Amino acid sequence: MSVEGEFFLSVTGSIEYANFYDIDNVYCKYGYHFGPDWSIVRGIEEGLTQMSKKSTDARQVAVWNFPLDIAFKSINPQGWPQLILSVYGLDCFGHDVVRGYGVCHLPLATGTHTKKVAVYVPQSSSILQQFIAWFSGRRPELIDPTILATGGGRELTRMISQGTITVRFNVSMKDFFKLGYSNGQQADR
Amino acid sequence: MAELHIIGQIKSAKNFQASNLFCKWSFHVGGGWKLIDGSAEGQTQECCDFYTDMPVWDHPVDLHYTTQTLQGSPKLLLQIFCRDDYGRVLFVAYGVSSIPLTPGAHTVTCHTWKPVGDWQDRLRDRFLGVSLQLKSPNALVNTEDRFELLTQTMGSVNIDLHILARNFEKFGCRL
Repeated sequence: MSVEGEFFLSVTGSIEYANFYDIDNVYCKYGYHFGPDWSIVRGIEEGLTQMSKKSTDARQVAVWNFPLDIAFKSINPQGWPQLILSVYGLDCFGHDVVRGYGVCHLPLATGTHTKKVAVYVPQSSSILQQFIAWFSGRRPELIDPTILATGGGRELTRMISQGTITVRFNVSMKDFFKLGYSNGQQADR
Repeated sequence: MAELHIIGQIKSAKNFQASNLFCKWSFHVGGGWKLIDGSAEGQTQECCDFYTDMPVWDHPVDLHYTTQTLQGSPKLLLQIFCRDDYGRVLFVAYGVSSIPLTPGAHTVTCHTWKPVGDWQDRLRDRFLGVSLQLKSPNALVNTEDRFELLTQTMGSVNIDLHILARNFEKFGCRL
């Protein structure tokens, strides 16, 4: 099934849990962003987790335990896929508001990887707007979170850190070493 | 031609006094290197962190170089800026870091500094926030002497990079 010059990247894993500093209930929307040479062979491109309430013990984590399973193919490592996480939740008035965004590259090496993805939320530009946003539930949001992955236009955003999301990846690759790429791992002969 | 991919993120800043930080970054290479795809410069988001004081940028880097030489391998120049309480954008620090060429995952910590001048400049810095800046920061990536420069230590920047190499063995190079 493999074509000359192509390699495959298969990723399974899970969005394990979120660790927010002062937010109680959250759900997460995930999607992938990748370069023009890449395409999805199999798997679901985006999805939504359940809404999770924070644990009451000392860990203070909101567990999602949400499975990821996707396979890509490409002819070029340029544009390596990135996982974009958008976190939403209910505020104290019951509004569905944005709680943060995070982005990370899928691992470039095979094996199991655990990543802590920092999450940040856009900031209102003035204190008055901040109050209106808090009161009305219409907080500043990114229209298209893929600007996080492309890098262009990010200089216009102001963010506040909110916490981290822990994601686990199991990565396997096919034909990657055969194409002569070296990623720091020994190719099996 | 040997190929090098630099894929990763300019992750976060640490130990800076200012809170609303952002960073202008640019990659510089010597004559034998050629950028095939990806943008070699950019600017991160502005971020503040009330909780752990480690503003997050998570700015993606995805570069594809080809080269015929090992001389002039990529270097990263960082210029850190902050927004103060009055909304002014002020210069904070410079940092230069050479990119490791060994294939694999690397966590690079780039330590930064800023120039300081005589007592008048220092007063201006202290009360007005106006720091001295270099006329041509791009000269920092050359290994020229900086003997005449007096500098002050600033914070550090964390960068996560994964390097992919191709065909270097063919030319007898071990990275």
